[in-house]
Amino acid sequence: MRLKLSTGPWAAVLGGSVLIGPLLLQIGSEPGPALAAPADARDAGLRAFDQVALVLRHPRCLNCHTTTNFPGQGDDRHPHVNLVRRGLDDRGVPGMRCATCHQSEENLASGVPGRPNWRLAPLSMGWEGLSDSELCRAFKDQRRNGGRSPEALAEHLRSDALVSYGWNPGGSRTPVPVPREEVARLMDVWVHAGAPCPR
Amino acid sequence: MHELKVNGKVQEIDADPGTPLLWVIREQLGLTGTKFGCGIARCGACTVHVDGEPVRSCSFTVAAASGKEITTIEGLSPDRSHPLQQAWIAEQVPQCGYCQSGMLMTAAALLKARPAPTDEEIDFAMTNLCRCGTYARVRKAIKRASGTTAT
Amino acid sequence: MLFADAYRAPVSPEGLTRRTFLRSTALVGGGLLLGYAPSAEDATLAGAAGASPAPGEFPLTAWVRVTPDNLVTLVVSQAEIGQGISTTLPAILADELGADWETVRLETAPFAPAYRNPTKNWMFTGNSESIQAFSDLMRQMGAAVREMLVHAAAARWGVPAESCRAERSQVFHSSSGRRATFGEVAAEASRLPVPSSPRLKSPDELTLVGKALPRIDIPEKVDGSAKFGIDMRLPGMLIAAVRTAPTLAGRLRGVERAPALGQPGVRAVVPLDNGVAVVADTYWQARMALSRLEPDFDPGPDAGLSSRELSATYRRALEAGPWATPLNEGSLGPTPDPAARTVSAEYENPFLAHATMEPMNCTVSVTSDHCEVWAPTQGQELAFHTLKRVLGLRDDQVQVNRTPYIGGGFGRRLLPDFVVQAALISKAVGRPVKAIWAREEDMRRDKFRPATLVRLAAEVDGEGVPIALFARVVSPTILLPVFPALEPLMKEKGIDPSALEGAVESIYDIPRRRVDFHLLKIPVPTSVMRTTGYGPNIFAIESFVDELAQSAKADPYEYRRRLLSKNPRALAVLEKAVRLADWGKPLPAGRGRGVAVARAFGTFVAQVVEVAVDGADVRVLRVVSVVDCGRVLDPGIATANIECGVVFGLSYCKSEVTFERGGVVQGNFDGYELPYLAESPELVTEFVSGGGDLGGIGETSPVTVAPALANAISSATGRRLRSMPLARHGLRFGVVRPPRGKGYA
Repeated sequence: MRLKLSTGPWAAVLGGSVLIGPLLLQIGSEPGPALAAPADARDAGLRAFDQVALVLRHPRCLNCHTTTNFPGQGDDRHPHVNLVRRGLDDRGVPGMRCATCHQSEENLASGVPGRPNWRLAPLSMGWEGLSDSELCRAFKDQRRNGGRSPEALAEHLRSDALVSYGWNPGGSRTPVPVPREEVARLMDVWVHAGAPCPR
Repeated sequence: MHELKVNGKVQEIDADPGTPLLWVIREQLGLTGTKFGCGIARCGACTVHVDGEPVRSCSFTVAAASGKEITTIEGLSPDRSHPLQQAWIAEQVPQCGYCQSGMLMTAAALLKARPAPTDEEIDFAMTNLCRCGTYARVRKAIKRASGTTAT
Repeated sequence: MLFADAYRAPVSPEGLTRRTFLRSTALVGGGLLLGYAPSAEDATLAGAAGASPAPGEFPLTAWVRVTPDNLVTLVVSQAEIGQGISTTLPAILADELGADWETVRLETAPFAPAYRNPTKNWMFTGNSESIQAFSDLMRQMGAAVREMLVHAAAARWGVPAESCRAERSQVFHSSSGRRATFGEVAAEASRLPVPSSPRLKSPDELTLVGKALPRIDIPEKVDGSAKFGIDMRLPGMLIAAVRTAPTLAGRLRGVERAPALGQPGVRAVVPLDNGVAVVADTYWQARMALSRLEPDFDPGPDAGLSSRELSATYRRALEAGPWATPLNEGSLGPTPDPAARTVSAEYENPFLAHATMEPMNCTVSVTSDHCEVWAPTQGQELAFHTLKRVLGLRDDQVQVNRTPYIGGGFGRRLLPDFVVQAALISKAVGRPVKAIWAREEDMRRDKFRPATLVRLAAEVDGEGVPIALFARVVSPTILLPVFPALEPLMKEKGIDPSALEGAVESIYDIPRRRVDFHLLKIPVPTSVMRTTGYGPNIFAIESFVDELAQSAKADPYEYRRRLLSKNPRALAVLEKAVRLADWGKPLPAGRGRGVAVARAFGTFVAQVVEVAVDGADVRVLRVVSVVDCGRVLDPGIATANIECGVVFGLSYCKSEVTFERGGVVQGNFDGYELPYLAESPELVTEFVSGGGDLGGIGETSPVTVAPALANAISSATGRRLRSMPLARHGLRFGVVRPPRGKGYA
């Protein structure tokens, strides 16, 4: 993982690209005192998370990361048409599965978006209505986020196929306004800063 | 060239890979029971089974169908003997009938997963549109086919 | 019924119109054909399924064939659009005839004068009148053939005809046990004269009529074998995908064809007046190639047309007229007496799309001297005459066949536009062509149920009972596109007979009534749609009666009872409906019941709708319908029409068509939503027999749904909706049973 630190003393000390991953693997959900990031790195991390939160709350993400038993749809986040429901496995109900309409890629004939393994995020990963602090904690909580470390979360945003939808949703759907590479960079800042959460 | 198994028979289809399975079924294979209603996966008239799961075939390319097992309304039974078809006749469900192939295929998928579906399960499985409004009889026929009075 | 009055065909002096011209002939190979021998003028019209005429005879157009193998074949003149007519009319005939219903064969009729609606002298299916118009003819024909077959068998046995009976496609001589199949005596029967007044069976002799028969079309509709227009296949047929201008009045200036012509399977690019068609081996090839074209459209007049502008047009007409006054009982002035106590309100009905589930399509083969059509059509005769004119062909050069099944009609398929378009494409490419419209094309090139604006005002007495009712109706035409012959009448009188339905006549005892009508001209194409004028007018009337009741602080049911004291049939359906609906039983907060009663298409209907309103969600819990259609010929089919009609009526409250920049906004079911199964109510339906004439039921139950719903919402919330759909008021239909299960709730 290439990590570019663009500001702050870390860049001066470590110069350009450096692998911080192995160091951070020893960090739990919050950096312990021995490895506490300097205040401005933590600040950088918090600011980075502010940006990431915009992404997480964008309709392209929030429509599947719902706290309800139905997906959102559209920029106005109306309840998904056709009375679509979550079901027991986050993949729809008997007779009306996500895969009934959504395939592993966008269907140009019908305009229905698609990605591999199209489904809702589990309810534990629902982010609707959460404050910044709650969102960050939910995002990081490995009991709720599928056991993902902050690095794994960064990887999820960087490369997951279903997540890629957010940036190339097709049709007239608004893509996530922060470019994916930039989100990856912000996630790295956040991870490097010890994945801090606002209070 | 795409190879798909349709109603148990392997078919070789020469069509643009982006061609919706719906039109391949109707035109190249001449199976006109599956219907075109909207083309945007809103009405369900085009519903078939792909590897046993319900799929709106207007939104499923022939390329994606390659190597899969497709069942259309013609394959539900050779002789109207499927319990849903029998129930549909007993309850006299169809009016114009155009939506009913898709309706039956969705109902068949529902019953496979839920042999005795509740009203709630019927409500959210059967989102196929019926312009003529046969919904009450659709519900009744599903319950009849499943041998249930569950609500 | 207004429409019938306006357009009743002259009845011949012989009384039974043309039924006295029934003739029979022998079929080649044995057997009998009963048909209608046209008059000299009509004899030139060929294109009929009939036997070769004997020399000097006019060709018979077949209605009934009996062949030596004992198969009885009946011709179905009326379009099966889901209403079940292809079961009931043949059953009426078969019952009189004594045919074995299990083995009767049915064939669809091509256009021919023999198949015209006897009361309108025009071949079409619509206006909920097929049973009323054809049942006598069916009985006559069935009874005539029965008597001929019985006489033939009796003659063969040397016994009196009265001692024989016809049953299950056989003739029996009871005392001797002798029997003969219809097929065995058909040839002899065909040489007998057709009885002009055959004995019609008494009700207790009937074994089919009055029963819930399994519909003959349903088995094919559950296994995919039912053939709709879109399923048509002909050798050598090509498929056309069509795109027309985005504005209503747009024309094609030109199109560069090259982007489509090189594409796989594409055979031709055909310019049309208002669009372009691509013709290819398959639909998808045609459609994909079509999407590569960039036609240049002239937007045409009214390129800025919008719903807002249309509303203003309606408003101006309502304020300024001018008016035709088709009714003025009591010599009322144009407006209520200012000294009187008055209640008044305005109601709006939206533009609606037919949105048949099977989009418009047609298969046509045009050559230099022949045109044959296979169309999912309700309007075969109009298509026939229009094609003749457009293609410059003679009567005997045009044949309009109707496909066995049609994926919904609702009046849209009375129009010939999609037939003519396909014919022109076929003519251009010199091959048979099936033209299929995309859903977007279907919705935007619809001829819409017209929007209407209605102002109602009543002078009321001290108890709030109306003593004078003033109605002002602003509506574009409903009938002109499907019955062009009406134009002189409409111009002269300034009315559209259908747009007056439900306004000019009244079930209520209101001593003085005046109706003013403004036939509005707008650039939006409008035409008949299921419920025709009754729907919009009854929405206004039955909402208004509720508002009058409210103003009188009276219960809406009791208020109506008073006004129906002279109308026992309307009273009977109303009383039964409210009883079945537990009217008056207290409801929890947020719930309400609304009632509406009307006479439409010759039938009385009363409905009670029960709703639960929760914020923006309107859950329609239950709809009770009580119907008096004179006599129920098939209780199963009648019930289905009423119950499915309720859901159809709810669709009129869910979506509407709007206009922007000269064109239609909605293009598919994303913008024009239909009700879901989960939104549809519990249904209770009963019939009462008021002993009157047969009334129609194909369009009847949707008529009262919108006002009953509005009345129910008013009861539940105190909020009065004077227009539909619900979205205009920030409301929407909710799932009737809110989900509770895991993964659902």
